[in-house]
Amino acid sequence: MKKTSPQRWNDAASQLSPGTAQHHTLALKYVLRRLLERRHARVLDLGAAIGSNVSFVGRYAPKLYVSDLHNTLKGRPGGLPKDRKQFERLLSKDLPSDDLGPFDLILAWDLLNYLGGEQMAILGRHLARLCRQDSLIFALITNSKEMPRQPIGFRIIDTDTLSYTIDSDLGRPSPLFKESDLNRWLADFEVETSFLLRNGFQEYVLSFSE
Amino acid sequence: MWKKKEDEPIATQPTPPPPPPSRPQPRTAAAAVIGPSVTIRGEVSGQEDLRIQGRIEGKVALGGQDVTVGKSGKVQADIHAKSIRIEGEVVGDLYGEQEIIIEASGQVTGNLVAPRVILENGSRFKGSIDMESAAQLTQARSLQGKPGTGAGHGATTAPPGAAARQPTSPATSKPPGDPLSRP
Repeated sequence: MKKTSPQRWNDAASQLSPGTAQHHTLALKYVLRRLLERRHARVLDLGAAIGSNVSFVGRYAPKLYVSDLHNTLKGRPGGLPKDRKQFERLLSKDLPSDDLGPFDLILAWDLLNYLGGEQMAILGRHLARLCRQDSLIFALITNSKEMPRQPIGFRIIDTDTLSYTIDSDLGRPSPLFKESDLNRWLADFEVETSFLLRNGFQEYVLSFSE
Repeated sequence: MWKKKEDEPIATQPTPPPPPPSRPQPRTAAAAVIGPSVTIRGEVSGQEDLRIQGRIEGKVALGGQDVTVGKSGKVQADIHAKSIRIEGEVVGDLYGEQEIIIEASGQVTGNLVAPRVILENGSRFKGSIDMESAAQLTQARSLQGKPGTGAGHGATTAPPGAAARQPTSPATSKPPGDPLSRP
């Protein structure tokens, strides 16, 4: 798949702020188009179970796994374990077993912002085992200096629109991951395309290559 | 005294017609209830709707019936039923012939197999959702002309995607109102 350069929505990216908002998504439509090319597609949602998302994604993929890493993270005020073995155990518990894959699309939402580089690498290796050629990851990386303390629950409105609610004050420094960081830490995946949004997020689509 | 006199005129009024043969009564809202202080270990089966307010550990096999796990219900079991509604906590796999609904207060850890799955806002769920296997079973069942009677043998009267709220249906056609189209 030909790699495309980031598409900029607006030169002046606005910042995230508490409250409910919607944003125009370009990457969602992109990954859904790819999903339509697959028969009996499977989707892994790393976020929380949100009814409208399950309904929406169910139209494209009859098999969906919800791992709810968002709530696992929320249940740990200190964040995910830094210890490698502890983190691997946590992922083994929360992520589906290999026999439930391979998955064609992984919805990571904004989870990667809450991981350190080493944690992202461990997650990437786990996810690679659940992928097949050209499986995709949909991720939102913050471009703002600060981000919410907890991951955001994104709600799919339609193929072009995501809604989200930030119910806590911002106050956590954003890691400001760049494309090169994602390619380095998620070694089994490659950034296929990305879209810069006005709300301070950059949408990334990464593809798995065996 | 009670003997009819022979010269008494015979009543000319027609006798009322016999009552019609009994027909199946429509299902009432009443359901069997497992109360909050009751704990059952083993298999629960039967032919009536069930509301679980207590605890069940084992298996719930109520094919063709509706099962509700109430707010105080705690179930560690697989549930097989026509329609499954979760308001409490369940650890186990759910097999709904028609639909599975997890209400806002519901928490489920396990796998869901049903043609329609509805997760209300606020519900907690971790596991897989399989709408394909359920739809295939439904289709196979309808081709055989058999009603859905058994657990896991999905038979639904509503077409996939016909749910009133947040329908989930197999990816067999272009989603309504969706600009994307299947090649």
